[in-house]
Amino acid sequence: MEIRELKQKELKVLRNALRYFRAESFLRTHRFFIVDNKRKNIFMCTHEIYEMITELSSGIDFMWAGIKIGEMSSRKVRFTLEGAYYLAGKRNRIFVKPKGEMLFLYGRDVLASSVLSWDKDVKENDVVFVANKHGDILGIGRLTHSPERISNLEPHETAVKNLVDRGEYLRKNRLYDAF
Amino acid sequence: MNEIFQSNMEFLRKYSEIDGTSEFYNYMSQPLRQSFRVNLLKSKTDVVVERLSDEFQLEKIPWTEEGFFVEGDGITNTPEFVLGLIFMQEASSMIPARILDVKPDMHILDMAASPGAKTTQISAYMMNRGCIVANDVKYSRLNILASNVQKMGCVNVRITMKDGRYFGKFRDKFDRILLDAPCSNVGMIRKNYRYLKLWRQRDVEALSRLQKELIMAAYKALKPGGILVYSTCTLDPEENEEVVDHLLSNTDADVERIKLPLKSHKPFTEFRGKCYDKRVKRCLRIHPQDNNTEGFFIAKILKSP
Repeated sequence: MEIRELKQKELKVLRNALRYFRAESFLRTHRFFIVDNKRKNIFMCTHEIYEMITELSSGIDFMWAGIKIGEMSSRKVRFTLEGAYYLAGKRNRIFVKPKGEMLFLYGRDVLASSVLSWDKDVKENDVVFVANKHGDILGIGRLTHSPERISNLEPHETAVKNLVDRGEYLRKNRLYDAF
Repeated sequence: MNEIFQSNMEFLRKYSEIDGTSEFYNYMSQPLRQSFRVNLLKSKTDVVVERLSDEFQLEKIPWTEEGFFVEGDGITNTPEFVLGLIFMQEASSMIPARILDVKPDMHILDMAASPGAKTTQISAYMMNRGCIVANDVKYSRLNILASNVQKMGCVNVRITMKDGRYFGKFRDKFDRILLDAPCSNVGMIRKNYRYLKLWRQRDVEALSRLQKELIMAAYKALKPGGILVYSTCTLDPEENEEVVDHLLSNTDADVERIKLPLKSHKPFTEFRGKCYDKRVKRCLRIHPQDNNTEGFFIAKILKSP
């Protein structure tokens, strides 16, 4: 696998994504780089690790460094769950009750009766971070209704559609494929 | 003695010279206690303990502040496990990273890192700063290593795939090196009897040769004044005291005594006619009955400044 620095345009896309989540400071404290595979994978690591990648490169192929925080398209960054955990933990969250938490981790949608609360900026059809009552990001989902309508839904109706959750780790032979 | 050990008479004969007590075989045939370590990169020990205490009975591991024995089924079905707030790790295998004495901005080499329990533990002690080169020779084992690095959120780890001996060419490069060497896995028999069936003296001797080459390479890569921790999860002296003796005989290395609140056995200073350097007495030899853990051997080696 080849690694490279972000191009100007890519850096702009990443900066915008980080700014949206008020996490722009990570651009100073950490090093971001791209691994071109089938997709454009964005990794984040310490400055020291990045220096070591270049310094200890002779005869050593790149396998992995730091954490994969997301994938980049021409205009957007799609965060991995670990990326979301670190960088996007303060916005676009919907909080679920413990029972809903376990069901979500087993791949199920979030039902209206499981919703505890939400961040004020979420809207219908938004892609949201599903979090437990402690604020840990459990996965990513799509809000099926506006937050105001959720409290009026029948308890068994779906409030958030499961797009990806951290239970994938258990379901896929404990190999965490940076979802 | 449990009948299962009769299935490998070569093992029984050899281990009568290492520890032939009924207590040893009694513990060797019992399943291991489950234990986990709190991932300090994502949470605090007291927070996680509070979250888990309703469902599970936890007992503190005396030699690792963030480590706990756990009773009850289903710890790996909890959100805490899935979210990477805890890492399932055998209690004695928490010792090597614990005694490596890492500081946040150091350069660390973990020579045989998969599946990453110790790598992620070191990363937590370094507060996600500095850098750790986590190496493993097998591609198939790198997947699980990368998975765990990602899941635990370690941004200070670089994974490499090399024969550990390759790192001998990096002279005086790393502040700390962990060599948790490939071994005959006798300590793991409590986890899986397969390791008893696989055990052969011939393999022990081959592994001993490999371990001597690995420890020499590790020592070369270590900075003067640095610390090298050598560990295995086996109890054969050829893979433990003899390997440390080999290093002491061929270099200016020294061994530091490991002081931790746990029981241990005296290391061997001679075995089957071979005499070892007296300093191997400072190593830590843990038999299963000592602390009701996996069998383990650990040496803390210093390179003179």
